[in-house]
Amino acid sequence: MWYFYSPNIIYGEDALDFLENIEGSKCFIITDKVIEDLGYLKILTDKLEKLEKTYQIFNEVQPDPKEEVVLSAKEKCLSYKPDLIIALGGGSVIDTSKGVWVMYEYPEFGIDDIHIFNNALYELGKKAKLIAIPTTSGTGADATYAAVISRNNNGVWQKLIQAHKGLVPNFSILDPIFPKGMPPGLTVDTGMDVVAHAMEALVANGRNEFSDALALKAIELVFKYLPIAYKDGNNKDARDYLHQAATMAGLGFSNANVHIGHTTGHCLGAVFNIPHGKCVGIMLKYVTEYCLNYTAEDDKSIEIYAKMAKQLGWAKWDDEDKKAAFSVIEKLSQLHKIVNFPEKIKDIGITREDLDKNLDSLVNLCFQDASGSMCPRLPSKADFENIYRYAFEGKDIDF
Amino acid sequence: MKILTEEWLEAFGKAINDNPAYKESASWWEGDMICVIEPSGPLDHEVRFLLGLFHGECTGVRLLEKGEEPEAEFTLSGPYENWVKIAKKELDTIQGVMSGKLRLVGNMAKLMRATRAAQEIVNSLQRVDTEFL
Repeated sequence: MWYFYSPNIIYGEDALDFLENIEGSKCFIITDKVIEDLGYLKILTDKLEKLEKTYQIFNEVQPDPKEEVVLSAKEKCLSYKPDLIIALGGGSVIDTSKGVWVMYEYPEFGIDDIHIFNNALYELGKKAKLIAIPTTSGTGADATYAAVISRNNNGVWQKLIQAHKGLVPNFSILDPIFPKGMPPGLTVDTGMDVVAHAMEALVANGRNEFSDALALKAIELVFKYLPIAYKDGNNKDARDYLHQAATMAGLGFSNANVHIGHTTGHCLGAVFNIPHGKCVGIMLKYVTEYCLNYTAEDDKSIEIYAKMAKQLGWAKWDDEDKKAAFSVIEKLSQLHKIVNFPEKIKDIGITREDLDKNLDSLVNLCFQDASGSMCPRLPSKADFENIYRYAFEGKDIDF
Repeated sequence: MKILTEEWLEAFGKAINDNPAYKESASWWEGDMICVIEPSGPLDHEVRFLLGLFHGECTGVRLLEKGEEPEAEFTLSGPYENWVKIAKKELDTIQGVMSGKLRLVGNMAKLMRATRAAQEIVNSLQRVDTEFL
């Protein structure tokens, strides 16, 4: 027995109009000040006013949402008593909203009660439905059942990955009006996050036929449309398809898992305060090579990536699998060059000294990251250290 | 070795200690685990055992007496036949728990940080030469 969880997805131009069809009239909007300053909040509130829905705004979410902010939003939500919670923003806003949603429905719960074995969370939605309106095209948080929330553990910010299938939002509204304002750098970082979600999902240990289909399509769309959106942020088709790709990849990895690209990326981001998409985008190439170098008889990484390369036309159908699989690495490097994405850790302002000083902490965090056990090849301590060292220098993984 | 005998439990503990990946991934872990094997298939009675786990070491494995409730960080329970599937690599432990084939009770926040360590315990179990019932 396995399963596939998904929100109701409304996409394309004017998708926001669908709010009219969602029952509920008292909305608690969770967002951040950047979204407000960009005018996106006004687009939403204008729509709500037109539909005669009332609202209250919580705009204090910050990147890498901290537990304290979630708890503060929870209190405001509890006193407002909405029947709709609307998350308008990127992954941080949507993750915060998932946490708030849980604690609004179950005020006695804390962040630690959000875990895969808490069956009460299957009942979410009795007080309010959760509507996710992503404004970036990357995290897929609108389609996933995880909420990444940071907690300070003895001076180190640790990203807790709180997950339960019940956390999948009721509705995901993908209106391309929102991501069209993303600057090129953010467009690329979030696009690389999508590729990382999809490529890791293809080999992660929860992969299945549904997740494979979505991951593959997401990769195809990003490779086609990210270069276009990078050059012309106003290209409507590119924005629309990238927005859809982010949710497809979100559905893919949410139902299949990500693995050590996200493990190593999460930890790099937490220790050096680097944006998520940049970290996982850089690490993807190296962890994919690490998987492709695995020699276990029953491992399918080469077969999977070879098939993917052939399906996407990156390799010929009669190419030998190993050659076809490694063409994926070449394609990643080509995409990096086209969209000016850093190839290695030292390109993002981290020095060798910084890395060496923090290597022990990084590896310890890797061993405590939930996605670390989802990889077809489980790295040892030395492997994790070397993956970071190679990714720092930009060396091909040869172990 | 016949499963769930004293000899088998000892071999299981040794397999954990012989697994360098467990040592590395659980170097921070403090807390014992109770395994409850519920009657199903050829097993007609409940068997419980305690795995002592501290800083990447298995400090001992022993069968629990009926009614004995030692302090433990978490308890993993399920029918014998599902445990066998895990031991034979026919069922992934995480998928087994998420799909309700096994039940986990304990400090989940701590446990979610230990999925790799838990995976290595299972990998160790799979290395024990086991004769099933």
